[in-house]
Amino acid sequence: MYLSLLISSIGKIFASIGVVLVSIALFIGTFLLNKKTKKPDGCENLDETCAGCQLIQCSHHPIKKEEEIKGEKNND
Amino acid sequence: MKKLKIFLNGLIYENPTLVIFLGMCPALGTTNKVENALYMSLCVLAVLLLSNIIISLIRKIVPNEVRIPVYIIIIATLVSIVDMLFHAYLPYNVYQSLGSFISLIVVNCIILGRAESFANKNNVLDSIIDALGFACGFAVAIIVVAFFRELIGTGALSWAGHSLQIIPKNYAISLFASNSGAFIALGLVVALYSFVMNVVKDNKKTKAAKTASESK
Amino acid sequence: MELFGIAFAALLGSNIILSRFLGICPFLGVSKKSSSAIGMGLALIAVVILSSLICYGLDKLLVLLEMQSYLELVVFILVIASFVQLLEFFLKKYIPSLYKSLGVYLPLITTNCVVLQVCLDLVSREYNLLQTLVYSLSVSVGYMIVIVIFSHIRTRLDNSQNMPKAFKGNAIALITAGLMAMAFMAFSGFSF
Repeated sequence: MYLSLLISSIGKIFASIGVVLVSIALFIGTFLLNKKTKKPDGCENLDETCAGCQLIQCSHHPIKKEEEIKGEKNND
Repeated sequence: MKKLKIFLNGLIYENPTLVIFLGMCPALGTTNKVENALYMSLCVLAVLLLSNIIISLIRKIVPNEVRIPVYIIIIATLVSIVDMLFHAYLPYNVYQSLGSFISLIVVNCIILGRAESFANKNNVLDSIIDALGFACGFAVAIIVVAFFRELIGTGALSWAGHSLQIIPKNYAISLFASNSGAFIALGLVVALYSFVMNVVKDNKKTKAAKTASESK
Repeated sequence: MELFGIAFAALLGSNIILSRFLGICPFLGVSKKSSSAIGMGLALIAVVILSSLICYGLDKLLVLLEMQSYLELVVFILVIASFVQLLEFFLKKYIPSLYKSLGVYLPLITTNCVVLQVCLDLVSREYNLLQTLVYSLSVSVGYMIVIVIFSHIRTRLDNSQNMPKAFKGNAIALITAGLMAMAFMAFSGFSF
């Protein structure tokens, strides 16, 4: 409690902006880190075990694979 | 008309609560009174509209790899702002009963789903119409369920403290006002909706078959 | 005794699915097979316990900065999501067998109401560390119990012959969940 009296109010605003920026950077960092590591062998066909939902933001959604294939075709 | 088709898509063909079953948590938790359902759908409309507009505006700038984190950040900020606004301007008892469902819009599948599948591929005007369509679909679904639950569960319709008793209280089926009634009422409305849609589809099929056989 | 009261209420009395209506999207989506239900439940237990501990510490930081009510939602969701990504990365690299069984459900848990609601609850009820642990463990175990029971019922529903066409799929599932909620209502009203 006394620590918060020591830090001035301007310092608190900067620290809060810092906390938000750090958490954004943490999220994007871990997201990219996770995206770049490949799935271990034998895990390619896991999507069938998850009983097909409508959540399109899930990274295992089958529509992402179609987009990857389309992207590779465009690059060729 | 293409714009009308986008609007009707969210309202009828891919209704988020009744067809694709996204965003079910507020659909079950806030349907105990029509007042709560109305304010909840207003909240979802605000967040969905703003997030679709913003994401459609920045869709060309965001790198493709990090789009989901960026969307989550934008939606979280919007929900914080809308939550504080509603906390300030809503009647007290309504905010109490909506409770944490407004904060949980940030993980609501409708918002992120629409951002991912529509708003990052289309321009601003189409995204606005799509957001209106989906929000209206959600609103119609939960207001119908809330009306059904309140009328049969308590026999009275209430708004801002005044209530109008339509069915005498002794004849009201209080199952629908309780927790399990939410599930049962929503299940019945979903069944009714899919029944109506099946009938319409069958009519269209028989009409198409008739015209095909007549033209031959 | 108070810890037992918290655990009982979170597990059975005000069960997170059947009484508080949270986490319904995976409840209807993942519960078609009992193996996927068990996997989802176990993954959720791990994520909820660990992220509730992280959010407990984060809340202390935000109270120190006096920005709790403004930044709470944004910082919580960002940290929970990054924790889930980190967990998935860790499983992919170091424990591939665990990733095979549970890893499919981890992205689903990011947008799950249960995790965020547990973190917001422990802030608004001002639990200490031990109460946080007990609460998050019992909420997630309660979720897992309900989803596993429901998946077994659902396999029988999907195999039944005489179902009217309008009720097939999620409509009859919702009505069955309502009957389960009625059964679980027997546990409400206890006070310890």
